[in-house]
Amino acid sequence: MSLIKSLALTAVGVAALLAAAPAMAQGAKPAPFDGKKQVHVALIRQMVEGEFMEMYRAGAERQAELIGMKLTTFGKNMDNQSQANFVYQAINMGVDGIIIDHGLTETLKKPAADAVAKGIPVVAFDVDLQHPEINQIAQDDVLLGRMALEAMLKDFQGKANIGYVYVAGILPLDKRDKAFTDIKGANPGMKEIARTGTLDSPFSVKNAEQVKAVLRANPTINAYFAPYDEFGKGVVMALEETSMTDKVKVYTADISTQDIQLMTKPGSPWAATAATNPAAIGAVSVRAIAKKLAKEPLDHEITIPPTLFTQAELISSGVKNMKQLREKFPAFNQVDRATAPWIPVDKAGMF
Amino acid sequence: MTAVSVRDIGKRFGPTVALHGVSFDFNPGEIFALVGANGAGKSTLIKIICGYYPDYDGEILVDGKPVRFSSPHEAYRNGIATVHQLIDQGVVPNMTIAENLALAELLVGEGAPFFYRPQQIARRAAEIAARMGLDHLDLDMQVADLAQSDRQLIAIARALATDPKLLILDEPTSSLSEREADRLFSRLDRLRREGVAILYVSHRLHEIERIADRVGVIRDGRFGGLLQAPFKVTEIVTAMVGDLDRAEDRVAVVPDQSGAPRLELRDLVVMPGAPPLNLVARAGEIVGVTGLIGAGKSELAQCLFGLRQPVSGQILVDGSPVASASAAQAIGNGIFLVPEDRAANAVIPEFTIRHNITLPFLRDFGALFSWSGLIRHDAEKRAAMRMIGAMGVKCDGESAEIGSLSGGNQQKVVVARWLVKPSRVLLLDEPYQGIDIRSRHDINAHLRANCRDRAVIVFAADLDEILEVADRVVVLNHGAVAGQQLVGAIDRRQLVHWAAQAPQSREKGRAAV
Amino acid sequence: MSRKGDMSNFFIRYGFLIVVAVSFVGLGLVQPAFWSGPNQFSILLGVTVYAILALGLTFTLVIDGLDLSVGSTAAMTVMAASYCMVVAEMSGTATVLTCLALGALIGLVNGILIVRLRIPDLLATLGTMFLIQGLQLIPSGGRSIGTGMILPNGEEAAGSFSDGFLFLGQGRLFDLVPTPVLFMLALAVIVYVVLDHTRWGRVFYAIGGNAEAARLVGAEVDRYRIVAYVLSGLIASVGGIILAARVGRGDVSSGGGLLLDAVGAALIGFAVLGARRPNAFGTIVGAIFVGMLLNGLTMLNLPYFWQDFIKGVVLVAALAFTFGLARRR
Repeated sequence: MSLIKSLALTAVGVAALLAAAPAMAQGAKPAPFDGKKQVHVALIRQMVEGEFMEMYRAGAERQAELIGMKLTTFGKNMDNQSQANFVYQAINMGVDGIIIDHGLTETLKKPAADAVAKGIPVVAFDVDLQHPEINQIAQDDVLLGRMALEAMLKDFQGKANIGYVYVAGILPLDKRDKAFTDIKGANPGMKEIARTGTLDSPFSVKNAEQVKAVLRANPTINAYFAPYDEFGKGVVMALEETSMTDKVKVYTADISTQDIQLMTKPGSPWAATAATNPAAIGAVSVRAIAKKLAKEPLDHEITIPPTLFTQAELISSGVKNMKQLREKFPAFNQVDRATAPWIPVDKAGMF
Repeated sequence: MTAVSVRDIGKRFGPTVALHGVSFDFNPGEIFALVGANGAGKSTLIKIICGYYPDYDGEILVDGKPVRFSSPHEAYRNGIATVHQLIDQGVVPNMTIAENLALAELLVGEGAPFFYRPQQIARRAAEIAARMGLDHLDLDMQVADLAQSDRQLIAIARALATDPKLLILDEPTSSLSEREADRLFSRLDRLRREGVAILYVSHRLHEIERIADRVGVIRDGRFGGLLQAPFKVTEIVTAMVGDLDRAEDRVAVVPDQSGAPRLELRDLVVMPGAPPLNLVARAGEIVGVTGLIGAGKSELAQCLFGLRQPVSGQILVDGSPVASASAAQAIGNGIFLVPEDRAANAVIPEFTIRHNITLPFLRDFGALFSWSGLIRHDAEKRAAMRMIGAMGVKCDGESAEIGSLSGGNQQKVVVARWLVKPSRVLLLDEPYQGIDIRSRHDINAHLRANCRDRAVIVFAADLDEILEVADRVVVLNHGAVAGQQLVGAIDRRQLVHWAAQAPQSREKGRAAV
Repeated sequence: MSRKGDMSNFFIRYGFLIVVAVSFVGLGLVQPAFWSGPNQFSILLGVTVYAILALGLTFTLVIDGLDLSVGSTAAMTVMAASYCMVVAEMSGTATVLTCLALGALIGLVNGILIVRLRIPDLLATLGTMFLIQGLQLIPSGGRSIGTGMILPNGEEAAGSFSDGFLFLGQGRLFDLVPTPVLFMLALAVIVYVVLDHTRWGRVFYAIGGNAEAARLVGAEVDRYRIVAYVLSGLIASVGGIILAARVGRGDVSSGGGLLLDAVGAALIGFAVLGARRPNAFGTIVGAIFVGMLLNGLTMLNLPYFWQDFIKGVVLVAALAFTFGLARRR
């Protein structure tokens, strides 16, 4: 088992291992964290691949370690029925709590309700399980979109010809789309000129092809709203290939190391992005289930506020990667949701 | 001085002896034809000479020195070049003629240069082509675009490129037209003048008459005779099918010809260009149909069993005409067939003996309602046990895998399959291929015991096999009945003459053309 | 027979089942929750869909063919079922019948491509696999189908999955036995009876063993081969219906990995009872064994990225056993 365990730990990331020693527990911990038994929580995931998902997992595992509970991760990439099976498997294992990370409402509603009926507390991230006893954790996607758009509004003083990348039917994108609709309604100077979008792999390249066509057809476009970083990369790619990086500014959502490097590159058209810290969300998820287990009050809906990063801020602070970003922008880390005096947080590290 | 000799070559496959020790010499500047009926051991001998069977008795001498080949490649390096029956195994169709000619030496052979050098290949290919007289061909053409005979010539040219001691041609004309064959023969004449030793294997006796210097005959795995040119086709056939003076065991038998006609063939033309065929087979008699390869035996069997459609004519079973478009329909019409080549056409290798026996008539072992398709295993088992006992199949019980049986016992199982249920007509195509004498007798005894209500027709090229079982011998030649005799009044010389006469010499044949 | 021969025969016949039993005991000793009744049903539920696909695939393996399109047929069925219920607002029964007909139709197309046009089975079914993968996206404009989705024409889809339909995937009998598991076991029994106890099954096997010999004993070989592909498609659509009822949404990514898991289960089945040929019992045991291992190892916190490796090890070991050791008897 030790081999497997060490492999799992490797996945957590060297950063987590090298982080500062766990903060001392402040005060006595409530039951069931009072040391009488090992608390065991299952993290059941829909997607396991990609930088966001890896940071989420690292954050969750680090927080679980700090609390001193055992976290078992279940997941098979994009296999929805397996995710439902894993919920039942966790129930059979007799876990104390379950965190559900993404997934389909239709598929998971019943297994999650079954878990609650068996007396197992459940919290969910980014999947609406439609159950009064299941707390919902979500990024504030509307705010995410609005922050990016407000940056655009400010840069262009309320008058911009906007290209838009959007795919309907994806919940977070639909929420970010709502922000765009609102902004357009309130500011007649913000005009949508063209709209494209595809979820063909690889996202960035396929979207770049579409955006190139849009740019040739609509030379008046001077701003681009791409509320998902893979879309944003596609727009930047299209601008570089058509040598229009100085004519159009790009506003996106989400952030990763690769995104930072693209944004801070000299002459980059990528003006701003609004993002939440995936590791912090992971930690919030674990804290939420811990508070629920300790029978402490918890909001039914826990939204994680985003932070806006402009190109100028990133360049002036000299940030090169996510680790430095977390150090230089403490607000990004310290998401004060679902906290408690007895739950230590990783101040120097990820969240 | 002989180029290559084989001495006392023997070979056995399990309990079956394929070759009993045969010896031949192959001389430079001579075309030596090797003939024998199917299963006589001809191809086994060829395969031993070209290295496919490293495990044999006796010895092979090349230039008087004993050699032993463990692989075809080793035989090739020792000067044995072979051109096999299927031309497309000998050439690579999507390469040019030049590349094909130089393939062995310059592309894949030992010491082939690392880089592909077109000029070098073209030069060497031109040399090889000139020697074989391929001047009429553009060496840059794709082989795929060539006629069969030209492909054959290329395969031979390549085989000759290494100056082999012995060139083996295995059925080289089997896919050539007559004119193409003639062209091949003129090249072979030329090679003979150049002093190449050629071992020529063919079923086409008229070709052998035309080009061979000597003929070696293999019969039942033994030396069957050596003939010098000039020779007659009838002499070759006599040597192939058996000793004319052999005593007849069944001379005294008076066959019963009183049964009702089961099968009647009226003016049946089994292959294009063949004359019409008329034949009656009665209940209670066993008819033996023989003839040389290509005489239409297989075609007739296929027509009767619905595997081939006759060109014209009628097939009547019990007096009413039948037309079978498939094996299933033929079986429905009461005509059963034990096909030739047991392994390819009859045995289901993974099945037990029981499952092999009951396969055609599973419906008869139905349980409850026939629509359920369920099989009554106990009834099935009883039927299998009964057939195993009746045929004398030596086995570890009905649930043994058929692969565990000897060839003869497998054949008994395959025959037994068709005796489970009464038929009007039972056909057996070359049923004695590769089986021992004991099994042959068992099968014959059982056929005799069960022919009361059915007509049995045995197709075999070997006259002795036919004479052992048949009440009446029918000789086919070029798709029609050349003559027939009742057992007890057999004149082998006449039978052989019927089988071997050239089709043109027969009146019927001429009339049909 | 020598004692040694008896031993090796015993090993060939029961070796795989012994491995299954040892794994079952071993995993339970390390993690007692593994042995609990509900967990046994969890394991069965987890393998249901691909075990059903593997049962269909078994027919094509028996006739010495292979149907690579079963995974995408199931995935397409998910989309078709969602479309029928959510967009076309059909009844549960009509949806099920439509899906079964579609599955059988795909099988028929496969059969005709292979038998009539003589396209090699691997290539033909690879072709239909791609074709179906693309086809399933067209009606919904590439989007997942769920209640309230925006249709390509701008309207909102109003229908939803009926409770009866969802029961096929999410229901439980006596609050314990999941309905999909019942379907799987019933189908396994049917396939077993058809293959091992009916004359049709015998002919299927005969065709796989020697098609020419089967033809010469009067079997309508072409018809049987087409039927094998139709059954494969039909059974794949049963798997798809259950998958749709489990997922409750026409999710574009539903079919991923099903094909390989199904092929793996059917091939592992060769080793069960030393059968050395495709068989219904072996297929089910193979599927359950892989599901059991993954369930147990996940309980022991085995990371997800080990799963395919474990499956591969089991498959290679089973194939080595089937074709290497057992052949020599």
